[in-house]
Amino acid sequence: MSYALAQAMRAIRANWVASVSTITTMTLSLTILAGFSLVSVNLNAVLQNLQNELQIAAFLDDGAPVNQLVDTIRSWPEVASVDFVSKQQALASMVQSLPSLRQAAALIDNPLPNTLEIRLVDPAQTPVVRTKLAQLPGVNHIEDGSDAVNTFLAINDALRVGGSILIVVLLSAALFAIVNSIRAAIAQRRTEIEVMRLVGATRGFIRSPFLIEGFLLGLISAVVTLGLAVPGYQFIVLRLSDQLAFIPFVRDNATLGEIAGLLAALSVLVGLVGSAISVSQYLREPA
Amino acid sequence: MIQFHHVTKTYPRTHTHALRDVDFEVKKGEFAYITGHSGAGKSTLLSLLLRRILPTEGHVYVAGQDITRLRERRLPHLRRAIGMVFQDHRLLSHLSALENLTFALRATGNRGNMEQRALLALRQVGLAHKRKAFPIELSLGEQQRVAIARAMVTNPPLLLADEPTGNLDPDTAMEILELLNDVNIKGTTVIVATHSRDLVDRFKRRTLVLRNGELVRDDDRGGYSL
Ligand SMILES: Nc1ncnc2c1ncn2[C@@H]1O[C@H](COP(=O)(O)OP(=O)(O)OP(=O)(O)O)[C@@H](O)[C@H]1O
Ligand SMILES: [Mg+2]
Repeated sequence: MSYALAQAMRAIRANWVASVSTITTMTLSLTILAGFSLVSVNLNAVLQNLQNELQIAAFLDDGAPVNQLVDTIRSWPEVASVDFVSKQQALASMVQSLPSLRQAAALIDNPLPNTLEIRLVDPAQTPVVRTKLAQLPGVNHIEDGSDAVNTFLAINDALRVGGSILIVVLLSAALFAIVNSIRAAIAQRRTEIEVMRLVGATRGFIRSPFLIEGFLLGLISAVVTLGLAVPGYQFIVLRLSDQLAFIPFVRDNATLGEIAGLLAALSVLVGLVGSAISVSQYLREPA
Repeated sequence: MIQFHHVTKTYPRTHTHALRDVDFEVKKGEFAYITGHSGAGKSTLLSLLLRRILPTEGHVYVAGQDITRLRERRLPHLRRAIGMVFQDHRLLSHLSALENLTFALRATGNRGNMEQRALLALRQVGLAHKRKAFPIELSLGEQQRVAIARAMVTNPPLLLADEPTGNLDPDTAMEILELLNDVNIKGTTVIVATHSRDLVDRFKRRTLVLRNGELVRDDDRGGYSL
């Protein structure tokens, strides 16, 4: 085993141009995959956030039976909470967030309606609750944030489909790089392999250096990728978290560690599978 | 030691009948030539013994075992029992004489004191002093002797040589043949495929003559005459 390992390392060093080129291709593929995974994870976090914040606003007619409405709605099982925001409160909070409106607000009649802000147990129930609200007396019209959520869901879906295609293409590129690299290594050692066969070396003895070489190329690519992706992500989060405050950047080590582990495992797997393909293609026993 | 039982070998791609109904036995400890013109089927016969190819018909036995039925997993076991020498020696050019031998030892799963065993084998072919030389730094005769040392370093009971003197001048060829004779005297069964009339006539041993794939003569104390 240690001999096979030494042989594999010797091969990687002896063919360093080919090795570097393979590692580069693999690193490139993996880095794009890493970037894609991180975007996807963050987008999911945004979506989660949006869904949690999603609430329904029911705008009331003046003179609607507020207390009765609040009681009715609160009794529905889909509803987590109901808050009444009077037209005065609504105006006050508007003025607070946009101070330039203060004078205008003093000059005119308050145009804002009384509002019920409704939070649901499960955001998926939004359409049901909307229908029920529309039938209540005194409810003028209803708004909810589902448009934004739907947009994000659509982006997420597109990303998932595009991502799957991307993954296949990138992993194929990585796989072919490995297959090619190991094939070259085998071609270079033709006579050695021939002599090994003639003196009676086992299949395992002949094959293991190449499998180990594939494994090592995968491992090195994984290390290089993580060496680029980890500080890269930290930098991006640091630079963007202020500008893009609405994105709850994923920073928890468990999630990020999982992505890193998955990428590393994938890289090593591609290395092993690639070399296994080469070995079974180009090291067949005649007859 | 080895037995060919009505062996026919046809190469399907070229429809060449390389061997036709070849039937003979070589006993343990024997020395035998396989002779015949170019294309008579000598190399084919040796390839069958190594099971690099399978016969079209018939069976080949090595040490009592029908190797035509050998599973692929057992091939290394068969080949460890056979030392093989080629005309073009097939030494590894990036390894020294000694390393070529330790390479063979390692490849066959030998671990302990490989250097000593390799050196001993080199000494037996009279090349201990050239252990550090690379193949390119050796004469053709010396290269062939290293190849014999490599074939014998694992102490196989059977040694096959395909045209081992093909590239050598007559005197050097005789040296190589003496070396093979030494190996045989120590108990190894030796089979030499050659079309060298000189050798066979000067160093008389059992001679099997092939002609167009047929075994046409089997003389105890041969001579080449076809
Ligand atoms: N791999 C092969 N495929 C097809 N035909 C082959 C193959 N190897 C050998 N032959 C044919 O089989 C016949 C016997 O060849 P072989 O190599 O056994 O002869 P040989 O006695 O060793 O000749 P030489 O003295 O020239 O080495 C020849 O006609 C050759 O063309
Ligand atoms: Mg031949």
